Amino acid sequence: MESEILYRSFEVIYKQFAQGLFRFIYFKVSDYELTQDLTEDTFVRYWQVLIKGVNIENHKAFLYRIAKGKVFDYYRKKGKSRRIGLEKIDERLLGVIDTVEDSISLKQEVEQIYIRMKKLKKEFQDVILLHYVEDLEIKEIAFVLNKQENAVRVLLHRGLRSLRKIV
Amino acid sequence: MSEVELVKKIKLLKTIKPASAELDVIGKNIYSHLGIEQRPETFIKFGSQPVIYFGTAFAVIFLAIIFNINNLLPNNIHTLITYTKITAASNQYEKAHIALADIQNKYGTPDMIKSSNSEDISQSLTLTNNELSNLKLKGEKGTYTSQQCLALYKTYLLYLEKLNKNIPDNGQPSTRLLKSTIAKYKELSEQKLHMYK
Repeated sequence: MESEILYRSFEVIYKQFAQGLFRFIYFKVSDYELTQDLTEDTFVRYWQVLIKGVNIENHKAFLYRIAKGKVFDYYRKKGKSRRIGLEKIDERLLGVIDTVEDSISLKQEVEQIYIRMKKLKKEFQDVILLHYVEDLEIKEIAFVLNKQENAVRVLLHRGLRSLRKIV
Repeated sequence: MSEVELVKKIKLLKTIKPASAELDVIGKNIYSHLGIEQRPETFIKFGSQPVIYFGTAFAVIFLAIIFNINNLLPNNIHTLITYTKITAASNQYEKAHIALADIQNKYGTPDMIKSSNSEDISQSLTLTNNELSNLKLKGEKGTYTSQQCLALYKTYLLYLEKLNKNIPDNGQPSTRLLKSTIAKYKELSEQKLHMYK
């Protein structure tokens, strides 16, 4: 009985957050196949914590925190420094744009802001992405990044200021 | 460029997303990795109408019952169910309503409060306060009104007073922390109440 409830709840949470998590991880690693693996690892880890019966206050924030940790672990194990490439976005992630009118100019706009964001300091990228793209609240971002809420607000303000200079 | 225009540009990044087929594949890999047998989808679409697979109807009905008697379940399962309900809610008012109803249900009487763990009460209270504090009419105009928010806050304040009154004054650090959290939330809620009047 308990496992059926856990399974169904996990299913709901996966459907709700998988897309955003995939995007967040992709932004950090810029590699489609690696993003697939890390997204999978994130949810596997989440399930493992869930079945242990650990009390999770905010499942969304918890998932993003795991995701961030998985990315960090990957780079630590590989001994690679974080990629700061100016690569174009993988076409497989732009499928939804093809369905809209004026998709070419929209794609260009998206790629432009993507490249500009990648030029920012990692901390600025994280807070801007989490707040404006993944819709996390300040307190949730504070939990994900293990920072105080005021520090997150300051980073957000400075991040926007830096981005405005290069957009 | 103004901040509003910049944020609008940043939000274009939301269009970057994997296809749902890709997420299905990842989902299957997760279940395979964990050695969990994947159950059939709870719903399928027939045209534009969702139709429940016969084999999962029991699970859905069962879950519906559980959602209504979840105060009998272990706390971690209860919390997960509450969170799932909140996640599935269509707007912030509904989320706040679910969270408030849940805490009132779990810790509604003096006996329930006295026999419960301060940390568990604190966790539920934080969730409720977070959901209520996220109420904002801007952006969700038309889905709920300021009158509804006012009513919700009034109920919440009454509940906080009741909770505070029934928490035993045993001098334990966890109890003191809970009482001070309640005082803080009460003060913030009173400010919000004026905002909605």
